[in-house]
Amino acid sequence: MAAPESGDGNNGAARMVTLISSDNTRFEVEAAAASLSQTLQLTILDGGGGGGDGIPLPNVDSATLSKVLEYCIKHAPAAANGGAPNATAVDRAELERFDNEFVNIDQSVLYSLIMAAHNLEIEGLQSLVAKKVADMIKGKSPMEIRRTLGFPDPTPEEQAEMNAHMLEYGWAYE
Amino acid sequence: MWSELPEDILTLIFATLEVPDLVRAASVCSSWHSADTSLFDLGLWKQQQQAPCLLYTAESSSSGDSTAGLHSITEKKPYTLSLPDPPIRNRHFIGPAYGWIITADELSELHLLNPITGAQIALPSVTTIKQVTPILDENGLVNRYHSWAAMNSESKPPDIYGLSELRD
Repeated sequence: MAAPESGDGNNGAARMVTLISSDNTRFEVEAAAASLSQTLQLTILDGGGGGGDGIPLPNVDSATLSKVLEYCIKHAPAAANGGAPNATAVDRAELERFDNEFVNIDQSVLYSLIMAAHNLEIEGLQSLVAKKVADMIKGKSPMEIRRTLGFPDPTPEEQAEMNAHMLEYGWAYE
Repeated sequence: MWSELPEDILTLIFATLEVPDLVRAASVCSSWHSADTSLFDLGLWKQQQQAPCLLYTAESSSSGDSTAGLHSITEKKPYTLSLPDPPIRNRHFIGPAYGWIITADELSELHLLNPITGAQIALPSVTTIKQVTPILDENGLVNRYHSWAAMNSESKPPDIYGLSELRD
C-alpha cells in the first residue's frame, strides 16, 4: 500500500519531467501525463527525467511528440482516477469530442502518431489512431484502400495475389 | 508509408474491423495478408466485440442450395457465401463457436464449417457412435440407422431412424 516514493512529487507542485525529441527539442510535462506511456512510466518511477537530465526519445520528432503530449495532458486526469469511474457524462463527452477532433488530421501525422504511440506504449492513443485508420478502410475494396493510403501501384505479382484472393473470397466483393 | 506499417500495429487496426472489411483488407498486400493471418492465429479478433452477423439460407432461384446469406448488421448489407457440399440449405445448424458452425446434414453426419473461409472439417461419422449402426440397402448404401436410445439398454431392440431423422 506504500505510495510510490516520488520524492519531490508530493509537496504541492506536480512533479515535472523533461522529454527530449529526436531533433533535440526539450518538452517539460507533468510526470502524470508522461506516465500514460508504459515505456516512460518505468523510467519516471525510477526517478528519471527530472532536473536537467531529460529522457531522450530518439524515435520521436518534436512535431509528433508535441501532438502525443497534447493527448497525454488531456487524458492524464481521467487516467489518474483509474479510467475515471467518477467522471461525469460531461467530462466523458468532452474527452470524446477532443479525441474525434484530435485524429482529424493529415494521414502522415496519423502515421507518425501511431508509430510513436506504439513505441511509447500509450494504449489509449494507439487504439484511438487504429480506430481512425480502420474507419478509413471500412467499406472499401483493396484497390480503393491502396489508393486511400497512398500505396504504390501494385506489382504484377501483387496484382495476381490480389486477384487470387478476391476470387477465393468473392462474396466480400459484391 | 502505410505499406510499411509493422505487423503488431496492423493487427491492432484489423482487430477493430468487422469481418467483411477484414477480408478485403487482407488482400491489400502480402504484409497485410500475413497480419490478418496472425490476427486469427493469435486469437486477437476475439478481443473486440464483433457485431453479430445473421447467417441464413433461403429458397432462391439464383444462388442455389450451396449458398448461405450473411447479413452484416453494421454495414446493413447482405452477402452471399458459396459453401462446400453437402448443400448448406439441407443442413441443420447445431450451433456456433469461435467462428465455426456445427451442422448436421441429411445423413445426420456432422461437419464443422467456417462460413467465412469456406473451410470444412468432417467430424467422425455418426456410425462410429457405439449405439448407432448403419442399415444398408441392397446396393450397400446406408439406408437407415439402428440406434439404441440409452447406453445400457442393448437388451432392448434398437430404434430405427431414417437418414435425416437421427440428427433430430
